Amino acid sequence: MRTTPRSIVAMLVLSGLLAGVVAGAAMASHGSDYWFWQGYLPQGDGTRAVHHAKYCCSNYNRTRVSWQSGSLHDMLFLYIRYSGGWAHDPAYYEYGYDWNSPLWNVTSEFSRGGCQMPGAVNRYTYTNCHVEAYQ
Amino acid sequence: MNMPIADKRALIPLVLVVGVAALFVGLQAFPSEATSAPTSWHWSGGLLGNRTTPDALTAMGAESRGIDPSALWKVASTGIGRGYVTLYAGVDSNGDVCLSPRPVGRGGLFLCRPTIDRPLRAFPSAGGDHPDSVAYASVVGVARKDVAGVRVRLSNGEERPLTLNAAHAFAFSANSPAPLPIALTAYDTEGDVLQRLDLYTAPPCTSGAACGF
Repeated sequence: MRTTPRSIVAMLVLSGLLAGVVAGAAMASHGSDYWFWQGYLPQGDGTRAVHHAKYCCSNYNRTRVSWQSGSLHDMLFLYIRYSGGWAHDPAYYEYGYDWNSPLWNVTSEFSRGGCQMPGAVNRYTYTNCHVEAYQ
Repeated sequence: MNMPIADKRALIPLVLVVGVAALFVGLQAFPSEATSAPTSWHWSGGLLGNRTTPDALTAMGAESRGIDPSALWKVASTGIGRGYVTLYAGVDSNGDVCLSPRPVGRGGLFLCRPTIDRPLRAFPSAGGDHPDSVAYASVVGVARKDVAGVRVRLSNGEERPLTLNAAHAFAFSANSPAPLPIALTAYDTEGDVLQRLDLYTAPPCTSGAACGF
């Protein structure tokens, strides 16, 4: 087989695809039933946040987010109060695009947890979001 | 193992594909940030702050990271009501410094050995009573040794200098209708900008209906 410019281009394309598969496999270590949300944020209608009810009856819940690594931007953990209020904390990209939130106390004021695309970021990002009981 | 030369040539494209793929993966795993260590964190000579007894949430998080919860320091704190936040520091079993922000209602996440290529390690948090508005915003953090000053930009366009305490830590918080913090800037001794940092103060929704809460 001769190494022509065309074959080099084909190899580069194939390499990119292979890299994507490897990176994707490393990130998505759980099935779709593990994540309550898998898809692009913001959504088509501009919705930037997704959220899920907390789990009874451990003392604490936490949220996990992983997101497509190519864009090198942060994401946010979102907490929703029974009252309809909210709070959020950042998940920084430099820690590997896969973060667990701080623990949140089930008996405290939060009823739901989730993931949010920061308002300053304007690019569609494939996001995985999970809420789990902790201890 | 001896292979015919023609077979070896046939392997060249495969080797190239795998090699370039590995390069792509490597580039994704290590973002193109400066990796040299131009300076150090302020705690290289020891942690500074007030030794404290942490709450249960922080203590549980510390134990899960191999950090002695009875040996935590309160590095900075700020805010009132739901905007109150504390920054704790401890040392893990590897001897690395770990930082843990503790906003109201959540905590216990310890970030160990913060990357030195960022002049600021900041932990913002925000919240509100309605999905489309922000009622309070806070930030606590630490600055690298070469940071001479930190300024916070507020939602009304004003900029204010933040005080760096003995641990080279900073803190700022505001409750609406006061102007809220939206960005930080770190400066060196020459007044040159070392880092600008967005604090993600925007609410989760542009309208209540879009979020469903």
